[in-house]
Amino acid sequence: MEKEFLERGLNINRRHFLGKAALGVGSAALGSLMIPDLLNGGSGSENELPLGFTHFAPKAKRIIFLFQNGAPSQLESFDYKPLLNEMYDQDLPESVRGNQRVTGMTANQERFPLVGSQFGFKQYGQSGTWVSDIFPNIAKITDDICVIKTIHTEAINHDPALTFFQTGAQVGNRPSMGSWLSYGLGSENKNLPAFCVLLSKGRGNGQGVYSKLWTNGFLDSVHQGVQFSASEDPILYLNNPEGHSSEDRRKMLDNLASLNEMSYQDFGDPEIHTKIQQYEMAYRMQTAVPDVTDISKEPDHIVKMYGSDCMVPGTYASNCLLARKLSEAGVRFVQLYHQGWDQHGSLAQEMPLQAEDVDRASAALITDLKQRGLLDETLVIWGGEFGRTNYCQGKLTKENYGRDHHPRCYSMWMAGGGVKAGISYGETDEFGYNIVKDPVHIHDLHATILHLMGLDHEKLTYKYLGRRFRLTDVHGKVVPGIIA
Amino acid sequence: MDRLERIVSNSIFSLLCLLTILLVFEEKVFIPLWLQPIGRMHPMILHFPIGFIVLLVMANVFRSQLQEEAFEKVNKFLLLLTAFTTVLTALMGFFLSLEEGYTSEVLSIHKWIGVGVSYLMYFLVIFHRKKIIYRWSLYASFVGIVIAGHFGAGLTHGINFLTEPIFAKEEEPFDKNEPVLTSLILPILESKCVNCHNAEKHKGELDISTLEKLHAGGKNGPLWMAGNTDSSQLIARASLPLDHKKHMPPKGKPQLTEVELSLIREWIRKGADETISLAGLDKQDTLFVLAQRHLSAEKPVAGPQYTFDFADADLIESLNNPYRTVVQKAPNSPAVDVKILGRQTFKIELIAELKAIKDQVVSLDMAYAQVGDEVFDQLTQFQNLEELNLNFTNISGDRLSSLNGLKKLKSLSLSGTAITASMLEELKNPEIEELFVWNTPMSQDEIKQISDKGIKLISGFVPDEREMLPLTAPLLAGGKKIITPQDQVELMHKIKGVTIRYTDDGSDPDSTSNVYSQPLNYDGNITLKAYAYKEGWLGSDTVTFKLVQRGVKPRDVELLYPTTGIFKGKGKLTLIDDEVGNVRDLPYFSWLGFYNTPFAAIADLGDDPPAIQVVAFNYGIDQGQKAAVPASAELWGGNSKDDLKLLQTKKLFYKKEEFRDRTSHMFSFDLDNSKYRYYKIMAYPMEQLPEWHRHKGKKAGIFIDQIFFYKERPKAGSPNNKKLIAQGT
Repeated sequence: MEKEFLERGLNINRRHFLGKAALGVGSAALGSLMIPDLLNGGSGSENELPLGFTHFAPKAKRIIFLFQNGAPSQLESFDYKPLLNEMYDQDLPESVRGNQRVTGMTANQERFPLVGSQFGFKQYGQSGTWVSDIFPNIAKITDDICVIKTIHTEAINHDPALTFFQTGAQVGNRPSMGSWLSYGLGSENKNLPAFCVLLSKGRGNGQGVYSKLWTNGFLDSVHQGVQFSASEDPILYLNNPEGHSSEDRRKMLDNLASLNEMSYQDFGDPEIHTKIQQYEMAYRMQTAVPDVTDISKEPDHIVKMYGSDCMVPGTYASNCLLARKLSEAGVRFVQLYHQGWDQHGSLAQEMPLQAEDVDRASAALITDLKQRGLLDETLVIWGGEFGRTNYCQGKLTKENYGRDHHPRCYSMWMAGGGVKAGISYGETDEFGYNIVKDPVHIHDLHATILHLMGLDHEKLTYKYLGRRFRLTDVHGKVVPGIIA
Repeated sequence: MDRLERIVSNSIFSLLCLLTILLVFEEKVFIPLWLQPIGRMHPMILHFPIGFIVLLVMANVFRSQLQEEAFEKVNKFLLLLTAFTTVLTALMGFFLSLEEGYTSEVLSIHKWIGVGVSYLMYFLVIFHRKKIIYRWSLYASFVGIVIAGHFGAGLTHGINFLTEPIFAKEEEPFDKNEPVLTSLILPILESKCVNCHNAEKHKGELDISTLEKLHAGGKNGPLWMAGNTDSSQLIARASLPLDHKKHMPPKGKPQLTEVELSLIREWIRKGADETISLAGLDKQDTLFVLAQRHLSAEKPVAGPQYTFDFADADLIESLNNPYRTVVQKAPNSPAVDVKILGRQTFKIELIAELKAIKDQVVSLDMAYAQVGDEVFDQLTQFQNLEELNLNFTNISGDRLSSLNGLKKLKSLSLSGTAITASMLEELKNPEIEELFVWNTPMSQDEIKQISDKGIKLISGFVPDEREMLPLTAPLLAGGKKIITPQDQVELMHKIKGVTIRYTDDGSDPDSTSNVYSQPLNYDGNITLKAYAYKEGWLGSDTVTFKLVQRGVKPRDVELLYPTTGIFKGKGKLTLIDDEVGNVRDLPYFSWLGFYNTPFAAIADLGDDPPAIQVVAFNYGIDQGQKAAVPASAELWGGNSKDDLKLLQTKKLFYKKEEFRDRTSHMFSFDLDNSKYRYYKIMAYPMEQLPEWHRHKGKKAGIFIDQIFFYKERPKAGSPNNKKLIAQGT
């Protein structure tokens, strides 16, 4: 008897549950009628606007990114902090450091003695921008650039920070900034890659760069950055074989194309047409690339402008010159990396050498774009992956010191392409450790860069693994204060 | 179980399920037209739950005044009513929120409180028998409904509606006394319609650039009929589906927003009174509310406004080819940018073919095009051109004045052309703002004179003759450091007019050293030192090239032990590829690394081997990689690979003072005219690195790059004697 009661109770519960479940499923079914995409996996069209078009009128058409790989010290370049000189060898107050994590390299250090710049600072231009004495040429163009002193990032070590800066994520395999732009805007010059990468090595302590930094990630591989070689022939295998003239090549390609066309008639495979187009593009590159690398039309004093090492392939100066030529020819994104900015020790010796390598050529690039009427449509960006600490790493002496990684604030500059010229944006505290006004996160910088190129960072998406990815992921705000 | 309770409770449950799933997939929800009226009933239905819950709370507060049984009945009945209407209201509200124009923060607060209260109501229905839980949840729901109601009212009346009479209002820059027509509606028409309906271009015979013309209407009659929105052309055409042929503005052009259209519609409905102003309207008047919403809407970034028409998208697409890029500036701008690509590939047709979009082209970049003055015949057709880039073209400048017809031209780039100041004088474009004249024959004085007339002349970089910059060092042409006596050794410098002085005896070159004028030949190993100088520059640093003779090149070479790990260089041919390993590349690229095995290579000199006097190899040192001097080396010889005999064994010593870090060294065996087809060279890594080493006590590795065979001992400057620390055994 008891058992039957129990069963009855159970049955009621089960019936009750099933009844409720049916109601719930019924409602869900009703709801699904109003959600056309729920069960068929989406409509496929991910973009409101076709690719290759801007979302609104762009201010810049092209970007040259002068990446200073290894993280140059903001305290010896653009963020002038005289207090650090006054407080030489005194400990960094706990209240300033807060709970900031430090790297394994200084975590075991007994104290954090403050150290100021060994190099003097002066104000330049109508803007009165502070620039250190080791950048005399950049100092001359301060009225053309916008110094941002409050860039901050998330990672504290080189590889993740570098990857984060280039792709918007610390983990690898997301598309690089240049790939996103190539994807969003397409190529301006179909005879050249839309995204080119140029590498150079400085004389300071260096950090590696890897091809994952210019990866297309999940985007189509045509958007991958093309690394140029640091030799006389930046792109290999473009010359005709010895004894073959351009006319021979043309005839050969024409005949090959007609054979391919016959094959297409037989099989109808569209890849055959793609192949014909690829051959044609390679043929056009044979004239387009020498056009770009040819400097015979330019005056001799271009060498005086960029410095004489601009004639030695693989130097920063020659990469700047090549970047200008590529950009002028319509390459959407030219990415330079200059290694050697990781001054954990010997900062006093290495920093001037590094500055000497980049100072003249960086300034020359701005001047050169300007005198051709291209600066207004070309965005130039100069900076590294994070900043450096205001305290000394290792042994502090009168002659020498080092600085560890500091992601909380650092300085970069931008020029041209719709950026306000001759301003300093944002402020750090007098220790140069924390931001006190107008912070600019890397995501914000990405959003702003896309904005200047006429793209809405929230709309430039690509659906992969079931979600829409963006360069700025779910973050980023355009910084109106630096837009002209 | 009470029948009513069961029915209501189940209904609430299913409505909640529906609401939940819709909320989860909110982004994808599409409300069919027939459901929209249900959503719009939200503002009516919402009064029920408010009324009911007030009653319900009252009943509970004054519970002691009622009979126990009566209270139970009233309470349950009211509860079911409240819960059901609450959930229904929430669902309707959700539908309404999907209509356009509801995106504010206030909406979001209102929505989520409403949703929360709905769930709480179901909770109440289930637990209404547990008195304590019930009462407090009830009061919480009451508070929730009041707050949700407040924000809901904020949505329709403005969030400051309640407090407005108490606090002073913020000042409004907008002039409320100006008629709605001129202050609000005309600006909308100007931004969205006047592009095609103006004095120059009156599509459909409609010109709305002035008020009188606006009244006249177009070929289908006047734009509006006062009080009758349905017969008003303006409303009717704008309300057609986007794909409809008669929809205005046409597809692809900036559309009227919902609020703009509603505002105009409401104004017509009210009688199209041209004198009515916001000041004369009641604040709850629909027109007033719409005007407020329109004024508070975010204004789009104002770009330059163009009055010319959009070019056909297919036409623009068809004009693109590998030598010409043609793009519309932005989806809402008819302006077109053109860039000509390629220097030698330029043809005048690339410009001539742009005739079809000559009105739309506002920027034309043809820098470097191989074109002369004939281009001016083509350029005059682009009446709306604002930016023109002729940098480094072959124009003479004589015909610059033919650009005077381009009234909109703002920026002209002439860098690197032959133009002169007198030619620039001829240029009389009214709008011109910037002229780029860097690298032209013009002098700085002339540039200054023209600048004084108000045009911004950009002369660019002017070299400072007094500034002295260091030259880079000379380069070794081809970079080949392994040579034969026939090879031409060439020094070069990329900067024209540079003088190179050099020595080949190991001494430092100075102003008395030989001037390099022609390629050099050497039949021995040589150390070449050189520097460059030029008038107006500082001399370069001295550069040193150590050149090594190739000697007899083996036909083939074979490695007996594999390289360790990733240090594989370019395989066995690394040993005879004539490229000296760069110390900077250690331990990668052209270096073969051995840690666990000795290095052993058999070289084949052919079946008629020459008499050999010296066999050598070079190795690299890198403390960080534990790449060290070999502990010992052996040389074997024979005419069959299987039958080799040991010719020599040598021990080497790794001394700190004699081996700087990251250097490379030659090691050699002296022979007495031995004639073998096969030689086997072996080198053994040190078992323990010395005391002073960074990795002291650990096993060392060896890194090998090239092997050499010489018929006679290389001559002066041969590096194989200098660093030899070997002693025969």
